[in-house]
Amino acid sequence: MSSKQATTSDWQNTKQLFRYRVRTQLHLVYYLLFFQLIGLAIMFFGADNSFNINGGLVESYASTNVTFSLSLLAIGLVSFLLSLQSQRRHFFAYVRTTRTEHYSAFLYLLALCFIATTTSIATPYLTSIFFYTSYSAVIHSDLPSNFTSVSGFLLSFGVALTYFILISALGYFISSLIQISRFFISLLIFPFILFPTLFSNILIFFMIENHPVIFFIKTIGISILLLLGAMALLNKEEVAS
Amino acid sequence: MNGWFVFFIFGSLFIVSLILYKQRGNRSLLFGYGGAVIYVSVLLLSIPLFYFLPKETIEVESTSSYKLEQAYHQFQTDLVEQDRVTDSTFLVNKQSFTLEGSDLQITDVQTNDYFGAQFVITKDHSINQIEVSEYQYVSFDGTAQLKSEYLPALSVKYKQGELTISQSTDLIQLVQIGENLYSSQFNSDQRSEDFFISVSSSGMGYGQSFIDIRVPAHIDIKVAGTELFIIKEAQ
Repeated sequence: MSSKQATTSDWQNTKQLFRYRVRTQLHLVYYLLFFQLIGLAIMFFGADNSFNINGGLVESYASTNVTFSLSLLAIGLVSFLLSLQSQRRHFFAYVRTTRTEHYSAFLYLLALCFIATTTSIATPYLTSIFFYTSYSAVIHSDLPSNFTSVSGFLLSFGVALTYFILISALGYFISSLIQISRFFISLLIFPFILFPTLFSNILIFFMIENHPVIFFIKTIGISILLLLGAMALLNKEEVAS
Repeated sequence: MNGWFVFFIFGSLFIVSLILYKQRGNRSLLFGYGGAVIYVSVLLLSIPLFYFLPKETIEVESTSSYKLEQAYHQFQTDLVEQDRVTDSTFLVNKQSFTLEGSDLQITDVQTNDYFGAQFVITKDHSINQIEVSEYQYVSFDGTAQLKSEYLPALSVKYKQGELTISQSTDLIQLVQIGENLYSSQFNSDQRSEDFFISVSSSGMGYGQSFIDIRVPAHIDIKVAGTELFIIKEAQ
């Protein structure tokens, strides 16, 4: 079998598996939607709530970040579950390696990341419409300032998508590690206990960047590394029965 | 249309889709993904719809917050040290009561420390009724700008010689436009024009209240919680 034929076959398998995932793993989409519904509910009702923090009466308005953060959490959870399932299920008889399963999982995750990005970016518009219809006049809409220009919107979209991809890759990788051995859970936790600043350093590494291009290269590169690492960890050849 | 309505729509959509999905079949899959597609399309449709909404945008000037703070300090000095407050910028509520009896008991001031209210009771020869004025101001910490904020209003009741001040559950909103401070409570009758809502994020405000109570000079005042009160006589 030539290498060209092998890759075509891989791609066909990936497509078949992706279609199979679309048919059978609807609940993963609904995990995401459920988390987003919680975010939307917080945004709808949060504007009327006030929180007292010592020293003064503090009013915190629900911001667009709620839905985005919850969606990130959901994507992490979904990728974790997806990786758990990829190793234990044999979808079709002609699945020869787990590699195509990985590919189809990545494809499915990418599709979910697109859904998560578009919906979480659209939520401020929906809440704005809600507030416009509820109140007679609005001083500030809750649209972030970078949403007002096209380039800013596209950049926000790209950044949001990148973060979703990063979190999904991280969830997939951690899930793979834990499937190899439960011991890795401690390896994931102890560095943060021993070096308390590690977490903030990681956040700074991913959050603060001078140029968008460097940010995209850095974040996407690390996502790809994580996914390759997950593939290397779970690379058992399986014969489906 | 209110929030619960929207929540109900999305929630019922979610539950119906989940029930159908549990049945496992082509139709359930159709409904399941149909629900997801409806959800996504509602959100995506809101983007073009947003731009077609008639918008009434009023810029709230943040640059003058420093000036307003200066004005507030002047007002604070006037209120505590001088006889009468003339500045009505911070006035949000004013009530008058006809005097009953010869003494005044001020009780049940459910004002916690975090609310930061201060009371000035002034004995005034020129008046023959009780006047309670509430002044409010939002001070901001750090880099936060002055925006419209919600504050708790105070409710004042006078019955059988007893003046009760308690923290109301109503929230009022202060909006600074230019040099002027608008209050939703003060203008609550004309909601359509003067009531604004802000849903911008990360506004942090510390509400402060000054309660100016003016009573006739001959009255005998009994007060609980004395550290909150400044009692003085008008010249």
